[in-house]
Amino acid sequence: MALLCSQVCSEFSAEVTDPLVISHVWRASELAVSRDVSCSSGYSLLDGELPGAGWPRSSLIELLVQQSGIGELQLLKPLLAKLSNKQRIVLVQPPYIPHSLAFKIWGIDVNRLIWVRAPSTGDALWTTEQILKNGSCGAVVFWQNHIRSDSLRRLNLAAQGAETWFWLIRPMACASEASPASLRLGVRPAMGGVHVEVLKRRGPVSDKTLYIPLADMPTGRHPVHHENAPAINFIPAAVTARNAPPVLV
Amino acid sequence: MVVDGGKVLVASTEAVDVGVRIGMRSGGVETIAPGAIILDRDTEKESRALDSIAVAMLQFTPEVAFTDDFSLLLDVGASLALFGGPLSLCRRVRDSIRRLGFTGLLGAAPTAEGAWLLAHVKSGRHSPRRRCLQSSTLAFRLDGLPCSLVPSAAPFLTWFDGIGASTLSDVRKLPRTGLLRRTSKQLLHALDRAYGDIEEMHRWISVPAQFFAHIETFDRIEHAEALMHGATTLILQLTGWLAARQLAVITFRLQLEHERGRSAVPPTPIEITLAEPAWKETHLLRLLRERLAKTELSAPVIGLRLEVVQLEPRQPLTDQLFPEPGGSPADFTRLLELLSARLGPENVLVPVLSPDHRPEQCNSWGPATAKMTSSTEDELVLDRPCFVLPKPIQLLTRDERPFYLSPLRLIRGPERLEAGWWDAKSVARDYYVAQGTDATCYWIYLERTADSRWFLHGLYA
Repeated sequence: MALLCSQVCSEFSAEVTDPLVISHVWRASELAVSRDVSCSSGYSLLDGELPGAGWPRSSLIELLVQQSGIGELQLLKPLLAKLSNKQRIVLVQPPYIPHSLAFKIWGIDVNRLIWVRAPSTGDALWTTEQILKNGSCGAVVFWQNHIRSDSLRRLNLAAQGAETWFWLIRPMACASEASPASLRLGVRPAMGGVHVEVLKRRGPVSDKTLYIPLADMPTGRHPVHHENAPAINFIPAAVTARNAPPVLV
Repeated sequence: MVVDGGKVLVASTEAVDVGVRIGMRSGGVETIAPGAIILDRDTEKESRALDSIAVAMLQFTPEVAFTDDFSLLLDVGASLALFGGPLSLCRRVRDSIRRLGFTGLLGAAPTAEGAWLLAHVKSGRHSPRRRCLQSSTLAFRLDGLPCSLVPSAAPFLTWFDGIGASTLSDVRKLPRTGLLRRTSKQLLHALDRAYGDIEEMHRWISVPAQFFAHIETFDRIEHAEALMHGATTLILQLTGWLAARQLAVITFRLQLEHERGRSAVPPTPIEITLAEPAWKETHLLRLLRERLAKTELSAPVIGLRLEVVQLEPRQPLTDQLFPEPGGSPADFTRLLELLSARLGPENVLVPVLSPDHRPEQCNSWGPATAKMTSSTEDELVLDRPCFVLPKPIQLLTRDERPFYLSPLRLIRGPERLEAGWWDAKSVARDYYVAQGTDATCYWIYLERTADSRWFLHGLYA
């Protein structure tokens, strides 16, 4: 009996001495694990770098883009398409007119898409807060260039109380400013996709730049060396005035 | 302070601090407090105020009656469960009276006369609590009250004093036949009603068929947001009226009245139309607040008038057993209305797809609050960028290449669009996908006119 007991003890102490064996000890090199709901971004490479293996719900996610229109929405596309089956998606203050046909091609139900234009920054912030508080929309994408830090905190607080995915898209220049967002990603254009760097996350600092290929980008991974030559054969001008009916060529 | 028949009736706390007492002559007041504002009692205004409270109280129960001495009687026996018990109901009644801009004393008892007596008890250290639910508690509370509280006992107070009957219990102990011979029948009936010995009859107010509410502001108001207080009282009356008639409002109008008389200015109407009939006070108030914040007044406002334009019978809510996570459809309609009220309906948009090849025409957006149907037929799926520019930007050309931030390389195209000969917006364009040196993709087109120029039209976001 005594022998058996000492055996068990020695096994136990052997387990304890090796910290790598214990599964429920969090190590600083690991990503944070939380009980918050998250949904896969649809890109396995990106999922691997995000805590919770996907876009977290009920939290402010910042996307810092080098310029608007480089593929940032395609990064959100898989989740938006999934959410639009049941819930509504709101675009607040996009920099250009969203093309509903493009969203339709992406598989997003355009009947559940809403575009809100706000005349001023204050209105835009108010709108976003109201949408988050209301809770009847599944995702909110909000474009804004200048936000004061107290407004950001307020948005973060509103996002935490809502069961909504919330992205804030800002210019890359804001990367140096402090932000309450738990996840901040920098997005730069790349051939046939985007380069994503994780600027802030719950977990170790990431110094990698991820290349995320986007299927709906018109270009592939490798640059085309021959230019689309026949296209440059300018067709002789067939129409004289801009709004005059064209003549068939 | 308010003066009636040369005597002070009510005085503000400031006036009391200076030494003004209730019952004082108005001449004396002028000596003590020369700066005091003395107002004559306006019974018409008082009855109008009581009317407005009565209409607002209809949201708690349909049985509301006027009783003596500017009191309102509410039979809430059937409403207790709906409003979460007597305590919560009392709180809500008190809260809505406060928001109407009045102060009131509230008494609650199983009998109407008893509630009236409890409400009229002078507040002090030894005064009993004003609310009770059991008949036995009520009898115990009433026993301790002085006879002077009952209005019909006024002529006999000296006689009661003489025989040492100071409280209601003392009076009730006296032999009934003797009491009936020496005092009045009304007094005995009042006591019986208070203790619940005989049935009470009340004349409940009848709900007017038309809603109409008007309020005069205390001062000339220059800012629309300052009108919110007055508008709140009107909306409270409206919700009371809607509850009593089992109706829901679709359109209502708030008229802001300006100067009358020689330099009369026509009133400014604020009309609010709801996508879904509503009767909830909070929703109506939020919409009105957003609209008032946007309104710029042309002249000072001296009065507010609330009218109902369109009504509908109220549809009861259908609740689901398992609530959906996305909130109810009514929540979403309320959100759209709120956003449209502040930003304008032209800024809250949903896509309206139309089968057209021209990018400007096929991508049209309409107000979310208007019911629009977009064509659902499936078209040829084309490659389209996700963002289009509101107005295409003409591009510079360098070495016969389009240039936007960097020289652009054409990587796909052309896609020829020629359409719109049937209306004035005809287009003849060759669309290309171009790429800058930093790998950003652009949707550009070459206009097929005499001097062909490049335009940037879209971005692949």
